[in-house]
Amino acid sequence: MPDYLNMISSLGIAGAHPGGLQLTKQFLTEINLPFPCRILDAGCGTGQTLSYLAGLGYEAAGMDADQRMVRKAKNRLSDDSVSIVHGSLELMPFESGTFDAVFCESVLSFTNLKSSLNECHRILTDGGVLAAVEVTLEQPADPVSFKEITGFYGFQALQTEDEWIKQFEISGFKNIRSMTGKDFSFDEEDPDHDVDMDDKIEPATFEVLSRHQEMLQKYVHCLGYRVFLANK
Amino acid sequence: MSQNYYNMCCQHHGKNVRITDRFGNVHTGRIVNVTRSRVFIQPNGPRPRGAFGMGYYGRGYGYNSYFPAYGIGLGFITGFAVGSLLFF
Repeated sequence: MPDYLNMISSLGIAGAHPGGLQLTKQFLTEINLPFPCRILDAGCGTGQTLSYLAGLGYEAAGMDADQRMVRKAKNRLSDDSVSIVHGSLELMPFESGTFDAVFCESVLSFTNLKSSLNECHRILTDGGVLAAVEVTLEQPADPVSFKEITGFYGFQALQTEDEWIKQFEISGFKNIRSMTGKDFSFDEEDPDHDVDMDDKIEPATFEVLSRHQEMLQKYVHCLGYRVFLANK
Repeated sequence: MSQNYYNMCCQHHGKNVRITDRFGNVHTGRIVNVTRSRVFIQPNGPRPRGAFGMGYYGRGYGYNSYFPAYGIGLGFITGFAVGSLLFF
């Protein structure tokens, strides 16, 4: 696992995607899901989004490729009403057409896009919606910078908005919409990244957090994000 | 766990955080100082009732000094949340 993802997992940082839970709440109103409806949070982390969805009465399920995250999510959702499984986006342990919606909150970028998008498409019902919050490249990066960013974060995909849209099309998605953070209104200062830390944390983990903060400053003009919505 | 919270507080110096303590208080504000035993935050709103620790004015830190900062014992922290930091 890349050091960055290990840091997120070890500190148990919730809502570890651009915009955090606030953005999740905003795009949820945008997609206007039917009710009831089955939602998979693919790459659920510590289960913050799952907890919110379950609270709204949706039939929510979670999956994460990291066992430690699965444990922390189960800890948060202690009443067993939400099923949380261990699994990878590239080969998901669900039958075709199981979910009306799949959420990927800063997850696809860390996977083999071709495989994970095909899997997202497969497990959705016809007309089902994919909602993805993912990092975007906002201006061309020189090869050294590109390598530094992808190496540090462990991104398998770091691409522009247009390249993302093309990828969704290739995997058979239709009605693809793309939004920036500016299309929503939320208070970025509001603390919503709660933490669920391991008992013992290596000092190196906090160094990775520092490095992440330095990387954000260094590449502030290069890195952005989009909310992508698409239908099967 | 105190050591973990100490490290988290140092990492988020100057940032907006929400801290819950074992007495059920919720403290929201900006971290203005961290010592080995306490984190000092300057609240965005009135200081919560029943909060403890010595008054610590935010003057000199470049923040609005209307609300005094106050210390929270690291050993009393039960929850921590941070805003204004982008994660991927």
